Amino acid sequence: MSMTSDHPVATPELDRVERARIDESTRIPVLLFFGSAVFWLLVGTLFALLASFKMNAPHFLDQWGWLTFGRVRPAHLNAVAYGWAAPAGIGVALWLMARLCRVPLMHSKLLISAAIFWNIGILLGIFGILSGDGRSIEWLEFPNYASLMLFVAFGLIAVWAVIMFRFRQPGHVYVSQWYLLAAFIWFPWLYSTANILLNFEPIQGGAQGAVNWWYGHNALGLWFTPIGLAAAYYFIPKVLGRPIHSYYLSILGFWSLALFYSWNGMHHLIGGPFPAWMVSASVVASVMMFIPVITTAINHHMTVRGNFHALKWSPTLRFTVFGAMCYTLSSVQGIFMAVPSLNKVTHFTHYTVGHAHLGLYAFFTMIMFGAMYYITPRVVGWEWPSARLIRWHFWLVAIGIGVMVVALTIGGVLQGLALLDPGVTFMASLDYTKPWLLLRSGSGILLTAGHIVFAVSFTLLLLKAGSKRTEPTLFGSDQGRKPEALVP
Amino acid sequence: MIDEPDNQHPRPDTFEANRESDDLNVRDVHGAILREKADPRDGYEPIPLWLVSLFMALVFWGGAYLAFNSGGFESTVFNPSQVSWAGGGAAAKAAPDPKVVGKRLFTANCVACHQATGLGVAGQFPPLVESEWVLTEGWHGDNHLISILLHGLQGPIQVKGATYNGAMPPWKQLKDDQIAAILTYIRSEWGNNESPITAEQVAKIREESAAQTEPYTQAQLQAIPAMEFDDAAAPTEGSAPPAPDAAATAPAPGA
Repeated sequence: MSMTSDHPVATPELDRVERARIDESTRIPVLLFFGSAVFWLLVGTLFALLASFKMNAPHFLDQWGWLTFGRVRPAHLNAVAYGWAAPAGIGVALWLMARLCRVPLMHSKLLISAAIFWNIGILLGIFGILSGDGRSIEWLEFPNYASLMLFVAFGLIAVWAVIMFRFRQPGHVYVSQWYLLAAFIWFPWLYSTANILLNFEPIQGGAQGAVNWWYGHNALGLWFTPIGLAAAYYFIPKVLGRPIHSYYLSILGFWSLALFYSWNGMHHLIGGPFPAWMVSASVVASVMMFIPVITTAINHHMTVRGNFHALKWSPTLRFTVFGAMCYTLSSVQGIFMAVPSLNKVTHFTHYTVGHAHLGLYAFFTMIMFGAMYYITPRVVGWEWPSARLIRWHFWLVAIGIGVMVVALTIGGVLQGLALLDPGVTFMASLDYTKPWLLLRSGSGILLTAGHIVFAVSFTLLLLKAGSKRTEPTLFGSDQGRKPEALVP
Repeated sequence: MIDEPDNQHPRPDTFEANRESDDLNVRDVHGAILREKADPRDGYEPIPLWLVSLFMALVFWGGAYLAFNSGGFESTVFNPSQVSWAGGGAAAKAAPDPKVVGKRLFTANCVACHQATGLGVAGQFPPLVESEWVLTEGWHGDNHLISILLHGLQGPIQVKGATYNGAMPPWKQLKDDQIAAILTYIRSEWGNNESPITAEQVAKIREESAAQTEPYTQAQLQAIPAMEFDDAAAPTEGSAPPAPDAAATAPAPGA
């Protein structure tokens, strides 16, 4: 930096130059990951719709083995989890890492190679699942040749993250960065351990179930959650221009999450053939999740308090706050689902599916949308072309996910109670779910429409459609309304 | 809002004036940079006391829950509610109630013919309720009942004055304690009130009747002296005399 010697470091102008330089340096890797994420989001959504329709009409498209439920459903899960959520999260995390380390992104070749490996891995994996090569291990259905690709990609990103952190500008390390660095180190460890123990050198018997759910839950808790929280911790105070409420709460939230989350997976095995202490320890750790969840909720809420009007204008803030609220909601729901007496009703029902979407969609995906609304114009150098598209996107997906979670929750409880009733046959228990599954398909159509709107909006931005503007694209700005405060 | 005025309202003119260089024309790069607020900072509000208290209470609950549901951290204890630190190993060995197990096995294996009511189907499947076969009245003994379950029954039989001509399959694939549980259940349900059957008794009959390869007929059973495993007396051994009334009330041989 040529100017550092002449000027005090903290002048806003200097910050801006520095930030512009950093944003510029992240352009190619971030757009590669964002672009592939949006593509796989559409693919994954298509599989989701297919799988959902098959619940309403079991024989729909079942004449081709490739499109049977047993393949379409894992294809959906893997396309959205590894194809959409992970690359979107990586894109956001790369940009945040560079900004928070306050150095331009280094070694972008590592990241570009990672993005290429990643996409080849997803392509092979989805193809493998559809052709019947998938494995019957939830969250790890990809065949070995695909998961190996993902692991290489992830190794490269983890190495990059450590290098970036090592060469950061000296100074305070902000809470978002703790989460990012932790996630970048946790995930390769989780992914490689689980794949080795389940796919490459499989361990025997019940221990497979334990490893499976240790991984399945940690993929959410130690990978998606920290990235989502890192983004929320950055964008909420950033957009509002306020400090985060309490550093001490941040510390408590981070370390209690790190301590308790990795124990949670065994609560998927309540009632299974596992030593009692394993399951009970997991139940306790799950209930202890109240600590990070309440802590983080208070920290975020107190930061936004008094500024909720900004949700009216800022797309980033509205998506992010929606996601942060759903983090609290889905975590509290998850805690109750780990209590054995309630788990007895909800386990093996659509309730669990609703919970998974509340976590991975209403929390994580919504925060990723919010972050992408902030980051993409900065790395492309162009404002979002249409406020109307953003508005449609928000309402379609917010209503869509709301309806889906409510439908699956009610349907799941009815199904669970019917399954527990010895007087109700299994086939009769399915009847209870039918209307709710139909409603779920309806909500899926809303989500699909929302994703298409987002993809169109994203593509128009990449193409720099419309005229060059320097003012932000805010909700309502196309209707001639003036924001009360300028929020990016 | 507590904020630096600079960040609230970007002033491009000031920025323009201060800009000395050079490698980046920031305004051209992006307007977003100009209006953007400073990167997030930390506030230092203390953690509220009520929150700390709540978390302490949670941790306390966690410890208590583990103490009572961890099965003593034994790798061989699978049911969390069975063992606690207090109960120790003794509680772990508490046997399940045979009537509960019996009801489950009965529901899974027997209701198709004998019905959940134990009344059977008139003319097709004999009843178990107040049946002399089950309550071991007349020539019927406990050993006969166990034998039927182990090896099955075929040909015409008389139950409560009615004749049935069906076939009952053998259930020797069930374990001794399972057969004992089923018999204990049918002998104590629907108003029946007979002594329980134990796994040892089943084991004994299984051993003695090992040579039997196909289902019994009523005549074959009648030829076997009745045994009563009464809880009052010590179990009678193999060569014990038939029950006193058996000889008297069953003069008519089956064939």
